[in-house]
Amino acid sequence: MIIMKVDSIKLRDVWFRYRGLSNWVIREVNLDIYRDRIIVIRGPNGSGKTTLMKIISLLYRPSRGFIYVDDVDYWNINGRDRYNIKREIVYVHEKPILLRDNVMNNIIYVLKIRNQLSERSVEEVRDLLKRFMLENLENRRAQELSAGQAQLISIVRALVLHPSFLLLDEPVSNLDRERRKSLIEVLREYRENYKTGLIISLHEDTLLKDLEPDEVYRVKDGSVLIDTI
Amino acid sequence: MNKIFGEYYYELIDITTRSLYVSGAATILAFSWSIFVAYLLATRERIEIISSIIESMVGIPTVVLGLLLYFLFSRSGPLGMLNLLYTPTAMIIGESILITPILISTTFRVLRNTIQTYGEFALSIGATKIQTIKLVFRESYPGIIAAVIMAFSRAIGELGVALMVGGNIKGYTRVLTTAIALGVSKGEFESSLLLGLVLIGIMIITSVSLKIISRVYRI
Repeated sequence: MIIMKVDSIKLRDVWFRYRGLSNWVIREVNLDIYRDRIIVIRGPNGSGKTTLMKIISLLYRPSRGFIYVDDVDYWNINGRDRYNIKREIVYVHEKPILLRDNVMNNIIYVLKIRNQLSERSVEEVRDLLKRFMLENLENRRAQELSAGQAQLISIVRALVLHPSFLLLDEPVSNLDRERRKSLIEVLREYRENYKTGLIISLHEDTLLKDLEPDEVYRVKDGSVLIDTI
Repeated sequence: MNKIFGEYYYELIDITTRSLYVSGAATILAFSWSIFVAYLLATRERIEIISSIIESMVGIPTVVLGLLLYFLFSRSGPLGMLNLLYTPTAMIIGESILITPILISTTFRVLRNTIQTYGEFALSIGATKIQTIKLVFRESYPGIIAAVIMAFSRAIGELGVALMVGGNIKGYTRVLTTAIALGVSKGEFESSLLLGLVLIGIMIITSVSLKIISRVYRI
């Protein structure tokens, strides 16, 4: 198994529009994103935040422009190299996508498919569940969870993979104050311990102060503006 | 009723077993190719025309299909040398063709929806192509089972193909639907009604047992 870490993602003159549609959702975006940083992407609903997040996480190929991952032109390399890079950039959807299985199996599934399942990783899962006050839900069917619980489970599932970059799309939209606090603490720890680059999209400013991001970008009509913190 | 049941008991068992065999084999046969076609369609874009054609084939009149297959399998037809006309094999082939559009169109919809949801998720966690396909089928399982139940019900309940290429030969190609049609034409309404109840019973038992299996195995 090849384990390589990714240190930077650079977007150069990136434009994006959905197939069959004429309007540009993302326009002329240039961004340099480095690991070991916390970046917040702000903007109202419909501004293009999620599309931008998916472009950064290499799920969407830009209609125009380039994406360099560690100075490698990602969309113009072979499939195997692309796959190895992609594994290091994990995106968590705003609307949690969970399997028709119990909570523990949902989390373990991603570890299994990446050959990362071990006693230690299971311990880590249990520890995270405890910190989010979800330890009693291990055997609960994912479909029986509340929106907030499902959101946290999908975040735990991504955290245990220890990717170089973790992109969280509106991660706190369904969380109560206490769990928001726990999430911020955990994210900070993972950034500290595993040097995980965090890219978080928010449509409200409430978390901004608590997160203490290194950089804040504002998306407006598909264009990215740099905010002063 | 006891008299009727006693009189027809062995024949009833024979007809029911043959119905299950013919329809079950036709469903398995149709499923074996439909699942591949459905997956290929579900992963492609701009296939609206193809999917519309397949969907329009769902309602094909069974007598029309039966007639076409009759010409195909008859002695002077292109496949006449195979001597398949009026055999259970011809019925299996005919019914599998009949249920193919319903299997493809329903399975296609299920797979398409699952791919839209889980395809991107699989990509986001770094799954390989094979792992993605496995995930899609794992999450589509209940929908695929429902499609198979629908197809089996259509196969066991159809008359046109079974009558035209099977010929309703007693002890050889007679199945529940052809036996009911014959019974009615002869004015034997009680035995036809009994066969009808067996047919409905099979459909209900199939549906319920598959639901139970789905629940037990949480699929």
